[in-house]
Amino acid sequence: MFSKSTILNTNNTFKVLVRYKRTKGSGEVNAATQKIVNQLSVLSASRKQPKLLNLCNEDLIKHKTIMNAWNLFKSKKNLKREEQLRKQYESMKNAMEDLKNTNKHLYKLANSKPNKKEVDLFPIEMRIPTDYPPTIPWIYSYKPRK
Amino acid sequence: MNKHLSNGILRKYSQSTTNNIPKISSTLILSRLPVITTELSKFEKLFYKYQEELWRRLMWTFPKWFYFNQGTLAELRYKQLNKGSMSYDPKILYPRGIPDLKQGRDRRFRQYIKAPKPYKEIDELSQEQIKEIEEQKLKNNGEELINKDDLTRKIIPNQRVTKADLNKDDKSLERRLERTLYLIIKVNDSWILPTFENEKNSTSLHELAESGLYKIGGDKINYYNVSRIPCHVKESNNNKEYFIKSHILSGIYEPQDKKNDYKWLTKEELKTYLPNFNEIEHLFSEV
Amino acid sequence: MLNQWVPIRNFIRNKATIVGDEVRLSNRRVMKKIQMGKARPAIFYQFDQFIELSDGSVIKRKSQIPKDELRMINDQRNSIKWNPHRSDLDTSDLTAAGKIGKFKAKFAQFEGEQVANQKDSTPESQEALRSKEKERARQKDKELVEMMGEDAVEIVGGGNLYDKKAETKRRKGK
Repeated sequence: MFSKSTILNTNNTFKVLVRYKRTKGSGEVNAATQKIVNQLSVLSASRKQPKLLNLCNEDLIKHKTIMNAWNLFKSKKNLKREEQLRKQYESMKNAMEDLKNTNKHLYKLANSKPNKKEVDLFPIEMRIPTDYPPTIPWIYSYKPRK
Repeated sequence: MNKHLSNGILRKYSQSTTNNIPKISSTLILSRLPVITTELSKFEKLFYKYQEELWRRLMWTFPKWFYFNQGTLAELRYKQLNKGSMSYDPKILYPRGIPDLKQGRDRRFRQYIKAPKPYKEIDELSQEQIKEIEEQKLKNNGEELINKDDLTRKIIPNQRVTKADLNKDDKSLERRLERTLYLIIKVNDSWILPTFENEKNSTSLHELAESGLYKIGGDKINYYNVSRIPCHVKESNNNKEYFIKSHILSGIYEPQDKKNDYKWLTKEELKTYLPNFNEIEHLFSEV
Repeated sequence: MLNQWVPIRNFIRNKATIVGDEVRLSNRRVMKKIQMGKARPAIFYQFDQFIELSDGSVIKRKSQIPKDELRMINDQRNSIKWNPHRSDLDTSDLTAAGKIGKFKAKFAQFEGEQVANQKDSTPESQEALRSKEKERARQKDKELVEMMGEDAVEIVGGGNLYDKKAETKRRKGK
């Protein structure tokens, strides 16, 4: 059976070509292939990517100004944080040096590591901040450790 | 740094000669960590808005066929919500330029997709349904009746400003949810961070702070001690206060002595209460 | 067979071959040539999404899933494993918030006793109800044992686990 055309052979003298409806097209694939094609097409940019952003000179300058301001804002914030961390580290170091000279015993205790049995481990009940608070903002019901 | 070091060495020698042992005490910085994310500044808000718009403009077309199978009810619902844009007709004059239509989207512009919802918005309801809801409202003292068991109900986020904020209740742990709060107590008419004296100089600093906290605030406090190492030392005429940091995780601070006043305050508010604030300012969090 | 480079103009990208029911994609990836500095990042379509956790707190995020809202039933905020020190969490029925709890609440009337209305129940009454339930379960077990007879021994199912110590002991005994 021919898909595109069938050759009619009558009397071996002349040939007539008849065209039928196309049955085997390039667009039709089996279901498994179609599934993979669908999945891959999600990741592909073809026919989905929007036009390039073509900013005019004025917009480009605006954009650069905004980004510069943002970088400045961020670097200021970072500097402030680093300064605070440095101060915290120094006051911690200072406190420990002081403790070393004041009371050797307390210094030793402060430097000791907690046992595995002790509950100095990181608390499982600590929560990451959410964007909106819980219905009851704070947990009051606390059962003390046994 | 060197100054402190040399101070320490000097003290060591003087200690052995004069036998003047300083009084050691631990001071507790008990903080309540933020429950919600920080409030953004105006500049940050504007910048994020700008970036979001750029992001949306550069987003690819939504792959509808991947999320909604053809011929399903979900697809039908999606189609009802999102009507495709008009196809290009060469006979029509387009003043804003020829549309660049691919996969039902004009690629020159942003795309906004409405996701199907399990509930109906107010403008989707019929007149009768709206009437019914309003009748229920009247019955329920003007508040809308919300079925808490319905898992497909609309998400209505809680207010970021709580009752404690409105009442200006600075004893509540529910105030200023976006900031870190610190506990201060009133002793002899002056506000201080809770301080506990080490009598025998034998208990470790953090244990002293913990037992002291239970003593003044009851045992309904779930705390987490950040470290055994003190984060600061304050010296004043033969007194040494070592600062220990701790977080309250749950529970409540209940003053055992009713006369003892207490407050949960942010860093800015502490400024007016603590006399030596400038000295220890770096120990408190900005957020 | 000669493995020669043959210039093809109309190549098929990532041509798939079908072997039986399986689809195999060719290893050769024919990439479209991207000029220097012309590469663009993949920015997928994203929805603004609200996620409500079990305690009512809401997180705002961007997601590729075509849903505006997600609601968690069981999560970190009400799980007993994540909240070891909370006294107000119900430990007796971990599925209380889930489908089974819903089902039980709905069809409780067929079990003989009606579950107390959740609105007007206090912690004390809930506690009493729970202890009652436990007592009933214990009674049921007792009845079952009586029915089977006094000498009945519970059959341990699932077979014995391999015990290395016991095994070596057995071998030595031989």
